[in-house]
Amino acid sequence: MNPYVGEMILGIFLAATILLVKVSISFTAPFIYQGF
Amino acid sequence: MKLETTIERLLSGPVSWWALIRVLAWGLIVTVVIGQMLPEPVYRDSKDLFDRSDSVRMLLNNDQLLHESIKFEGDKQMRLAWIGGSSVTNMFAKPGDRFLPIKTADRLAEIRNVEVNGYYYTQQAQRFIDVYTLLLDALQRSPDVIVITLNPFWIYSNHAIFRSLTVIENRSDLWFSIADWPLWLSVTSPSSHFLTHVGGSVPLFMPPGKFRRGVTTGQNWLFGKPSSQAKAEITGENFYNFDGPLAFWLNQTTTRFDGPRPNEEHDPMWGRRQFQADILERANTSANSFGAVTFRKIDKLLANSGVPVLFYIAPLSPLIEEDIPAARGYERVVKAVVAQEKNKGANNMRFVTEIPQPVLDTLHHYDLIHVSDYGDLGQYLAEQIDTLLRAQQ
Repeated sequence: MNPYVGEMILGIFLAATILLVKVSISFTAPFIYQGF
Repeated sequence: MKLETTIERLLSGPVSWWALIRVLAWGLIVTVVIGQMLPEPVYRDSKDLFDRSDSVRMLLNNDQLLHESIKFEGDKQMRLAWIGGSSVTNMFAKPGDRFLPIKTADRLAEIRNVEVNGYYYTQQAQRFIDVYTLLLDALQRSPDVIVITLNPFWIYSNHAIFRSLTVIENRSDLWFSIADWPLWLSVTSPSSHFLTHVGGSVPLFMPPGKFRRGVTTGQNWLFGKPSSQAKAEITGENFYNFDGPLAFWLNQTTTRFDGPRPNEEHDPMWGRRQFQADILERANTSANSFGAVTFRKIDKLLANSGVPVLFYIAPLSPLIEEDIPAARGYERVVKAVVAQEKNKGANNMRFVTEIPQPVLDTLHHYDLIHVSDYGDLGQYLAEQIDTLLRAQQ
């Protein structure tokens, strides 16, 4: 495979991971931020 | 290592620093692009309270603070900043009549014969540390006068001192000063600073918005349902699920809901009043309580600013007298505010700790603090603001 295409795919994976973390935070923040 | 082999196959060779930088660059680009495609997380409660060009709602409906600078038309106006919680909104009134600050501003405009423009920092269950944080923003906008509503339930409460963290997550920079470095270090987190600075421009990093329901159901799931049906109501759908952490605390400890429920059918607000009384009963007014320390910080900030400020304690329902522990809590709070007034750092602050009986008689409460009719309170507060401004001239 062209190494530049490979790099792009890895970059997309990276962004998708961030999106996944963001979505998970939306669900888990209530447990983390107890606030008292 | 299988992952390493896969990566090397994707890159057709060993990983170089330049390849890594290009991967990160692609990651960043795609992150920004995904952020653009996400639905806009910040939007306003536009017409719920008011829809007027001379008034701006400074807190968005997920408690994030408005960033932009605001310009009002004309130059002969008075700029009023009002920081207050739910006690200044009345959801039972018709749309034009729901918001005490606007009613007061209109009366003030008549009394002083000026146009009044308002920055309104109002949010549900506003905590005292929020008041301090919002003041930092308000002072940057150089208002001519500031009104601060002191909610007797929250100012000296040790429980759930944050309404939520989103104001800070959105604006941790407000605490980035020599005066506030202990707060900045101890209360904010690296993610707050990251979200403040990067999240503003890359939507994918913006803090999660509303998770109120999640807070409530999450706690029940983690710690088990409250032991009694009555306590479960505290965290019920129609109750204080926006104060999940506090509700959790109370439903583990309070005994108020365990006895018989008098006049339940005729008095649907009974449970709500018990909840409020429970918070008031626990008011901690000692000199080193979080509330007292915050009050001193607010005092110092305002004394240095020189901006005229009116503090008033939001009036409570006469029913408070029937609840002895809560009434004692209220007395403690008023005493502490009076003591704070005596020690105030400068004369630009005026305190209204007791609202005259004829004005109180015109109010209609539907629980201990929220009203369905403001009566003459707007007029009275406008007169107080006028008195304050005359004294400053």
